[in-house]
Amino acid sequence: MSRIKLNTLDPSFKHRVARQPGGEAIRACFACKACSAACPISVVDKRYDPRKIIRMALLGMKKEVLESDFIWLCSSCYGCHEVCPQNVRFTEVMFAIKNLAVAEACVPPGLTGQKALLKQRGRLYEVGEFENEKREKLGLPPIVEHPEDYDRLL
Amino acid sequence: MKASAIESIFLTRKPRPKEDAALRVLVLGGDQTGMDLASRLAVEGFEVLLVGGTAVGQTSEGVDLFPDAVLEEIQGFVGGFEVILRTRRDRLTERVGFIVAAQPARIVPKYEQHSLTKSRKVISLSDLEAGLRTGNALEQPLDEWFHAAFLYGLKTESQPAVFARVLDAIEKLQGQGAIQPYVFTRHLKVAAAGLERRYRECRERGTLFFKFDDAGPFFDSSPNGPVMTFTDPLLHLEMDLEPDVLVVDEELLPPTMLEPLFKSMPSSRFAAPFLKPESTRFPGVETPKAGILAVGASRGVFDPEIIRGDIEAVIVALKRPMPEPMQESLPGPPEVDPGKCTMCLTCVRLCPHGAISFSKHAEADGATCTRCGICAEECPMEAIKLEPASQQPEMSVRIRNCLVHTGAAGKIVAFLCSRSAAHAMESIGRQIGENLVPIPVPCAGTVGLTHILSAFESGADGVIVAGCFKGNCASIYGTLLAEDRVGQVRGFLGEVGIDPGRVMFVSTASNTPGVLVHAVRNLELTITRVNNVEQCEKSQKRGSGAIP
Repeated sequence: MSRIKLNTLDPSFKHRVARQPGGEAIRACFACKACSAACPISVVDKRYDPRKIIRMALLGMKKEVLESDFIWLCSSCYGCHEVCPQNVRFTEVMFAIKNLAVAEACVPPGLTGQKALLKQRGRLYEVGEFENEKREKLGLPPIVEHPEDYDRLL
Repeated sequence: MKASAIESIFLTRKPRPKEDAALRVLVLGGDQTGMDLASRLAVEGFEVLLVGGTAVGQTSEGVDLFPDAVLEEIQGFVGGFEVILRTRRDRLTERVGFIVAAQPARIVPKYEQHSLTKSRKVISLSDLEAGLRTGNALEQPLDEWFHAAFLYGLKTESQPAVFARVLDAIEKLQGQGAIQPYVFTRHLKVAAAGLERRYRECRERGTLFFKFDDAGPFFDSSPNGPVMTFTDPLLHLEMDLEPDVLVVDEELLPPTMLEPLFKSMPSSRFAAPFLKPESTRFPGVETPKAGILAVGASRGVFDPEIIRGDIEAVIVALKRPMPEPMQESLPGPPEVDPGKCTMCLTCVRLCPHGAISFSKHAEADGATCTRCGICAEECPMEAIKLEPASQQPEMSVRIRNCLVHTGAAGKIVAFLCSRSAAHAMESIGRQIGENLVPIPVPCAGTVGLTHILSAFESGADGVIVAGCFKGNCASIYGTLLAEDRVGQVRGFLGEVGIDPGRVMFVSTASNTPGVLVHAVRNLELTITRVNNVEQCEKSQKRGSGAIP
């Protein structure tokens, strides 16, 4: 990443995150790295580092945070939430950040696809013959989809 | 019976002399602390002379103000100091019972440390505070964020009292609108009441802290003002900031006007630039010289809360009866033989407590003297006696008596400082062995070369000098003197063919008897080894032909 100019960042961003439900405690972070150590996502993808995400938000790097794809990697396991000595409740901070991202129209294409799938089928995956055959063996009734209702329900 | 017992407690303490000077106090002030102390003392019934201060109208009754006076000289002792004050017009001589140094700290901005120069956008913390007081701290562009960068403890250690001021300034600034404060730091000290909480609250209100462990920010300048470039310690990304104001932190230093006080205390060069050493022997506001007290900056304390405590400590110290003739275990005040004294002033220069004055001959002040005996040991004319000869024999005679009575063979003479090693020895009891001949001395610094040598002369096998730990000596440099003399004796012993290991110095405290035991065991071991070697050598010489 090129040199960051603090003057061009948005000092109000941290306060905006803090005004979101769940984001209140973001400014209490003292960067101890307990969340990063507890995060299972950090193990597989180094770009996802809770401590760094908080720091970027605090510094006001709004664009870099909201338009990034890594904020969507959070698995909401609440591991960070458990270990945080400052009660930052990072999982919920992530919800707040993701909500802001959606509000600012920075939705990643994957999410749009999932939304479409949900509308079409009521699920994030397709139910086919394979699944229904297995259900039959276990004595379960087959799943019948009613695409016409999902849109209405959602 | 009971009543008399109670009475005796009070009667043994000499009441404060009712003469005029004892109730007069000279306060060296300069800011609010001096004013507060002066009015507090006035309320307690003291007559106060306040040097340095602010508006005349603010003083309370019983305080004489000398706003532009400078203390030039101090003579005399507790209860009757004679001070010379120089004002713009004349020189005044005043008699006071006590002197309290309560000057404000010297405040020095750290521009040089950062190679910064003061400019419109680069200001010191004091400048910002002044601006905040008058309300024109910032020319703020209303439509944009105002970036305020604070430096604190970046290059050198920081003082919590300065951090408290930084937090004050940030809190006031944040009340003024869209302001983003940044704090650039390395040594972030929060060891003061409530400071850690305030630090957290400051962060939670949105202040950003950069705590560096590398070289920290580099400063450059552009036409618009200063530019800072640095690597964010968390994200490891290169960043730069053009602050709208760059606030340089400050260093709090002891006041400079302490010279006359230093002069009245020969040991002060060990504590300079402060008025008192950091030692448990001089708690709180007390200095090595009775009647001179140090408040706040002059004793290296800058925390306003502790300074408030200092003011009360002064009241307590001044209302206490005059210092006593010491405990019975210690000898009486030193007596100078006028016939022997040649006025060489060695004692005046060496008395750690500044207790000796001179007119026709040297003379010690009874109330200031702590009976350490360094003067008596150092006097080249042997004119000073701490213990009158009629009551107790000379030290060397005492040593000889001890050794002759108990049989000198295999004995170790232990000179024990009465403030530390003697107490330690008491708690050891007899466990340390029968070969030890303990001789308590008022201070390890009074053990002279002749004492150590006369112990050997009387047949001792080894000598141990036990004093206080360095920095904990009630006579400031008694321990240093003792250690130095032991070194000298080692040299002498080596020259005359006695193993220098037979004499040693050890630092101990009342509550560390183990150190003393360990030292004695070591010395015993050395003596055994040296004795064996010497015996072998002797027998070899004697029987070189006889042994096949």
